[in-house]
Amino acid sequence: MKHIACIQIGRRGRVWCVVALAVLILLAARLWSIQITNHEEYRAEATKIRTRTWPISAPRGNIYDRNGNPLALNLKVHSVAADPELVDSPPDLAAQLQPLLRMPKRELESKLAPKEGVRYVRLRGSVDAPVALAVRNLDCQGVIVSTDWKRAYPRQRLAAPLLGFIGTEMKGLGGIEAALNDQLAGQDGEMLVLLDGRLPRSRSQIPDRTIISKQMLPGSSVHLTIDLDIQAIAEEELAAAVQRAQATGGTALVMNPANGDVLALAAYPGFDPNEFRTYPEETWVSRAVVSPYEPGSTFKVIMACAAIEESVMSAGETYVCGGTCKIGPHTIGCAPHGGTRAHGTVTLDDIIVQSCNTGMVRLALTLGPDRVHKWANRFGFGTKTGIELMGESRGILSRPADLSRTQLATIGFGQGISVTPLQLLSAYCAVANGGWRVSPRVVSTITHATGRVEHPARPAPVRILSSETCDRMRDLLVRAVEEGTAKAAQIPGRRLAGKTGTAQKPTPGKGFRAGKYVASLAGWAPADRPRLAVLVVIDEPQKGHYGGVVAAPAFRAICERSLAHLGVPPDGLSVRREIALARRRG
Amino acid sequence: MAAIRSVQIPQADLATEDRGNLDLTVLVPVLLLVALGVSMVFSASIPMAALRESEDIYYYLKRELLFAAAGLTAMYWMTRVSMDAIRRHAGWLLALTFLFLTLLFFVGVRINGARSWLPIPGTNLLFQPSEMAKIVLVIVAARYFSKFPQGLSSWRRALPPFAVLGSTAALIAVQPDMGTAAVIVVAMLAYFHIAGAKLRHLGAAAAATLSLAGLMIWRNPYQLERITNFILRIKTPAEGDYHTTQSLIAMGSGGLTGYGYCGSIEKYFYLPAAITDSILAIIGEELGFITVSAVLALFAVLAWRGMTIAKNAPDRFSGLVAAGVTVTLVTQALLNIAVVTGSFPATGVPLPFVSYGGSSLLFSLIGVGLLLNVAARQPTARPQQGHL
Ligand SMILES: [Zn+2]
Repeated sequence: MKHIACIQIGRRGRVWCVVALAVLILLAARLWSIQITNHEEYRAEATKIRTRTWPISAPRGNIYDRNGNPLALNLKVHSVAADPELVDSPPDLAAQLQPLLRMPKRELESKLAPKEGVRYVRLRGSVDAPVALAVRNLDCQGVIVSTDWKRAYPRQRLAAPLLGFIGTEMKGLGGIEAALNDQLAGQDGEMLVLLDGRLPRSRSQIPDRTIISKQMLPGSSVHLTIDLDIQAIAEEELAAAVQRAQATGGTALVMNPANGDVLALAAYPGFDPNEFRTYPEETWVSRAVVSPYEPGSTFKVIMACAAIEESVMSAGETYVCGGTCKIGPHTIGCAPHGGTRAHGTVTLDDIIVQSCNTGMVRLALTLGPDRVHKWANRFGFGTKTGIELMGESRGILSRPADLSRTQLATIGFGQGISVTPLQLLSAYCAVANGGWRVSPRVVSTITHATGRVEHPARPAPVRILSSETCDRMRDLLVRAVEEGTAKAAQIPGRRLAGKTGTAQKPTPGKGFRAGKYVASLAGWAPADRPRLAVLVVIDEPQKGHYGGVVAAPAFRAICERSLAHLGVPPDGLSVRREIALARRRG
Repeated sequence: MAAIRSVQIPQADLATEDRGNLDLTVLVPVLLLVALGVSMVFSASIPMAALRESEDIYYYLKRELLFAAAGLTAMYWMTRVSMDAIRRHAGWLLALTFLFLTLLFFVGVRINGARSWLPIPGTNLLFQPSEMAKIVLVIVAARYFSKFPQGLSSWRRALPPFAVLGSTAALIAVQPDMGTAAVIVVAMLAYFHIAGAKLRHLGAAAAATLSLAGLMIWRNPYQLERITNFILRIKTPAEGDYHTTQSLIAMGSGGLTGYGYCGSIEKYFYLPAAITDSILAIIGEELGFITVSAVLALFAVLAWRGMTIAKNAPDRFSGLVAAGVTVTLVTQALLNIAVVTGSFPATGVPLPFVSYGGSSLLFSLIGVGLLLNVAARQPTARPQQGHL
């Protein structure tokens, strides 16, 4: 009995056993198709579901002045936003957030209310770290707390057009920020993050599975040649001068004549780069670099240097100024605004000191178009200076063949030619430093994230004038300050060299008749061992229009305060000035 | 062959009535599966354990080790108990099982929608009576069928086992635990056939089960949706059954050798039931096709060896118990593997020995203990060809 029974268990058992084995083989085949045949597809699918590429944003490089004072920095900011679709109850969430964000509950509620297709609503732009942490700790569904860098300009309006500003996506849109964007921006990194499979609200990174796929490279920091204090002085004095003259604007430029370093680059009206959108676009640029103007008498220095170097008027030679002269249909007067003041018999030196227009016309015509163009070119007019800023203008200098006799004549006293303030002051630097043309620059060093300090290459200075010419020009410009048109620029105890300019502003189609002027003063201090070259340009002054009236006080104040800041000792009273003072006393 | 794979237990260790061999062909695969299960439960449970308040990543490992220790002790005890005593107590065991299954209606703990667990007083452990039911049904049916060595000839004689099976399955199905109910019905029908039921009995039972299942599906749209999802998945895997999709991604992305131990990403809350019913998918993801097919092979060895033990059993009751245990374990394994590989709609069936869970492991190992008990008493010296 036992024998028979057990055979039955065995036979039917074997049948079921074979069925089970067959099923196992089918399952193994299925397993093969999943794990071997379609392995790549499943792995791709898995990667698609879990892997996210998140950027690692590189902090932008800082911008400092020449003494290491920060001009542009990055602030870590937190922002609180919400995904309305994930918010269960806007009133409840608003009640929770209200005390933290200090916002009206009603406003929060309306922002949190679900709207078609809206997955991101900014609740509060910049909150400080403790608040951000508290909001994060609420652990509310649909609330997004994010950290980011924000560009901040701690000195607000100071040097704003020079620094520029940042647009969306941290891209520099003006000034140094734009010109050196590549260096400042650094390189964003990238990380591959594996997310876990929970609901969207609680989804988070799987620990230890994040791969940095691209290293982040922080932006390089830039040290400018700007001296923050001189910049502040220049801006202050420029603003005062523009307001005094009720002018439309102005620019002030301070350079180191020895090497072309720009120490201050001021423009008025300026703007606050932190809120640049609230200011008109024309305030965003550095006028001194991008806006050419007709320089007027300040340009006579360049023509006079050319005349001396070319020996067109010997030391004893004189010229008789009749007050006006006629060039073709145009009449040119010495008192440019309709008067008929005659300078009488003048030497070359007198032409400069007394700013005699007809004398300059005579010099320009004698030099001729080729030599005028050659010397203008040699001083750097008509070409970009190569400063590290975007949108630099080359000015307008006609080719010799295109120079009409009238134009040639007017170039003699700085009309009919357009230069940028930067070009003009660079030319003055060459006269001030003994005849070397220097390339202006505003970037001193670039410090890379690796710690390497890069000194951008600068062109070697080129001698364009003999030192004798420079000495003679210096004496003339000192006289211009002490007894000529720039008297208002005098500083007791300092010898300054300077030349005023009062140019008529051409208006398209109307020639020079509009009655709009550009008043300016260019020069350097101290006259003998120059530390600063300064140019002040006031655009369309209403109260007075002579450079010696409108621009001179600002020039004087900038020189005086900056020299004091640099600790330059006074020269003592000059001999000439002592004589002049003695003569005045009688 | 069997003699080579068996070792003689030293005489001093033998209980008074027991004698014979320890069947390594059964024991080694089972121990391998338990070891794999314990290590994989640890790996797959790390994300869940880290979310617990204690943040103890060994939480599930500690519990699983406790279950394994209890199960192996019970298995050892089962190898020493007299089969005759088991046969005599079958009635009590069945009554106890029904009591527990009925208690579920009153004090059952609901997890994932099914009231399948009884709290064990004084502990934080839960007991799953349906796991007990599997092994008790095997014993009860073995006792009944052993009375009819020529098989069941009449419908009247066939009725009692089918009635017991039907009422047990119904009690489990209303928890609702469709997976376990399905495993019990399928395994028991095959087992009844081996034990001597006629094919027409099985046909009738299968028809009754299918019509009941149809009724339930019709009454419960959720079940219907599950099945439609499964059918639709064949066309659009991404939109269909989330569970199956994640399971396939886990196994598929593992490939031949897998991401390596503890390298699973699906266990981070993508794959549902990662430490219990879906643990094979995590094995596939971390240890690859090689290990999963080895698991399949181990169950194949168990199926073949279990049936051999049943065939060579010293008496009909023992043989039926051995066959019943084998059929139950192998059916569960097949169903679990079918679900994990997306060959069958997702149903909650654990993989014996491997999935996390005390009751499943305890009663599976008790079953193995009985199998070893039978194997130890079979006349090994007898040549194989003597049977036919
Ligand atoms: Zn004159």
